[in-house]
Amino acid sequence: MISGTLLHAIEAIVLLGYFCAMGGYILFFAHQEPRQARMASRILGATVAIHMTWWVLKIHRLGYFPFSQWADCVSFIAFALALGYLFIELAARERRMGFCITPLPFLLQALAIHQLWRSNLAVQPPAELHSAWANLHVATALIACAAFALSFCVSVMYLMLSREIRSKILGRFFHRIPPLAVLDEINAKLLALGLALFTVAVAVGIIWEQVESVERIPAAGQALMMAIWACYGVNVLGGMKFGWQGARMSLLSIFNFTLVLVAIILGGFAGKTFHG
Amino acid sequence: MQFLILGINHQSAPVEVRDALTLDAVRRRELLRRLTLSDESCEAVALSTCNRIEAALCAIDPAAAGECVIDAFCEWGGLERDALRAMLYRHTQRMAFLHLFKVICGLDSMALGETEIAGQVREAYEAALEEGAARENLRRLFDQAFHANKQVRTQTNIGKGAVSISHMAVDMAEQIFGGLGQRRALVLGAGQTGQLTVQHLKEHGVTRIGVANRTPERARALAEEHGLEAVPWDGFAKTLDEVDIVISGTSSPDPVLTVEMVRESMRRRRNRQLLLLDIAAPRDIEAGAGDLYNVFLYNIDDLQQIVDRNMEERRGEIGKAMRLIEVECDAFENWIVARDSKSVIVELRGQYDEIRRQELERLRGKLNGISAEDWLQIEQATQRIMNKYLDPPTRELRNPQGRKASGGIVDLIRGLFEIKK
Repeated sequence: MISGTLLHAIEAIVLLGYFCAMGGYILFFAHQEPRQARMASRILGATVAIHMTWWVLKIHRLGYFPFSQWADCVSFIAFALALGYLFIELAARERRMGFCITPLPFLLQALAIHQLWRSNLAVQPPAELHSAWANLHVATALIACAAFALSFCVSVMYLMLSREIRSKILGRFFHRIPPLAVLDEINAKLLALGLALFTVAVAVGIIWEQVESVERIPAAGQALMMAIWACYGVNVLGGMKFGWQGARMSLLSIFNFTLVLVAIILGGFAGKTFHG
Repeated sequence: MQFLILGINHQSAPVEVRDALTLDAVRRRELLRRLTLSDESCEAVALSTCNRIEAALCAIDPAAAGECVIDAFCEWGGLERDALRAMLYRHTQRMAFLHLFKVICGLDSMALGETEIAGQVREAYEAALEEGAARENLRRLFDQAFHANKQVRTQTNIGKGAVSISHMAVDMAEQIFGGLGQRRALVLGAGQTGQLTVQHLKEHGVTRIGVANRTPERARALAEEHGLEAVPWDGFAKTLDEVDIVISGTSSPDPVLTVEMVRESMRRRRNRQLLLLDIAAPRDIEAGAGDLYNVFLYNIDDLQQIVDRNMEERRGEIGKAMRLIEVECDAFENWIVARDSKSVIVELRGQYDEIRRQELERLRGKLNGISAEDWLQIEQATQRIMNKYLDPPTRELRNPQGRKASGGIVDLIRGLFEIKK
């Protein structure tokens, strides 16, 4: 039997790993020493592997996907963010984004641990939250959320660099952030991926509601979700159809992610509902 | 063995002389052969770049080796010895090490902190290795120089930031577009900075570059010379839709690229990023173009300001770089003294051991009937006496701090104990 202490120990190791990786990327940003970035990448890779092991152990212990706990969902977003970032780093051969992205998994994992260490593993969530529909709905929504968070970070970097280039006073970010075109391309892909997953999550949610007659999300929540979906739709469509790029895409992405955060916070206030 | 570096550079000799003395592979081999033939012990590395031609020598008689280099330079450059001497710089021992380390780190270059020089020095060094002209001494000196370069590059910002307008233009393009391999560029006009920028863009992988000029013949000539595509002047506005970088350097008194032209083009190209580099005076591109969405406009003053700031930052790093170079110089001098002192220790001990053996032989004849055990005791006693006598000078020679503090300790001991060099 996997003990709660072991899981908590792994959670702490994961937090430490994210912290070290973040430190490495920030040092690389400051000193531009490739060795530091390589080390940070390795630490992050190892931490993601440990985090994945933690998920496997936890699922094995509980016997179901632990998406019903708020803290587990936050930890899952941290994991998806770190994994997504590693994938981008490998695909784009760019380590200069780490300083801006890796603080997110660290902060999210810290937030999750704060809750996880106080939670009682023996408490069982409602049975309907164990269904495959529920798992698919939550997993796709959380991965979409991670993609939007990554897009948010990339957009912030784009705006910082673009602003510096336009100001014609080159300073902290020139050479320390990937080229604008690279950021733009990554942003467009993340937004498209996030929107696709978010669409799947909404569709699965509707089907789940019909098939298993679970509690419906409140009307205000539905409206907010549709607004977010529409905003990201405009974001992606604008890029594909009207050639929106660069600053415009980035500003929209930042605005949209702010809506996501608002929805999450409001969801938190919703209390005892499933989405709360 | 003494070290000597002599040569000419952009500060000491005009470009015509530097051009005349340029060492191609044949001349370089010839110079190295002349030097090694004139003195078998002589080691040499011959460096030739567009701004400097110099030889690093290590020889028992460096003056003679230096004369050999001067002979070759006079012959190839068609120069009088006195005229050449007036342009030559000479550095010996520590000054030579410092000079070489400064050269390889780009501190003695026209563009402070440039990185290409390290590659050129390596090339010269490898040519000397191939010819067998660089042996123990110069091998060690150049290894130390490469190490100094690494230290300076990693611990200072001496090579950071572009210090020429053409490099800055390419730097800017890379920071906007990333890899330039798939990008297209258009050059308006045929100025020198424009041509230099084209050169740098080509070096960074841009293969599709168009050139437009009011005089079609001039555009065609430029296109042929640099392997570009000639674009008709009347049609360059249409070409604007397909390019990513525009470098404008015409001598037109009025702007050749208006805000309206750029706006129209941006609409047609669906707002794809466009970098406009206006290197003309007066301006070729209307300033308002830079306010358009996804258009980045830099004029020559903007670029010059950035270059000046970069240069200022590099100058601020000179002190730090020099401190690192001094450390590397000390390390190399320590190596020389350690190498010399090692041979002195061996010589000194050999000399005394010989005396000891001779005296023992003489004693053996006088002491008849002494047992083998007693004889061994006597031998060991003389060995211990000799060791105790030689211990202080040996320790002094082995101690790097002592060697450094007492300066010519190696020569002093050589003199005192009559050890040949």
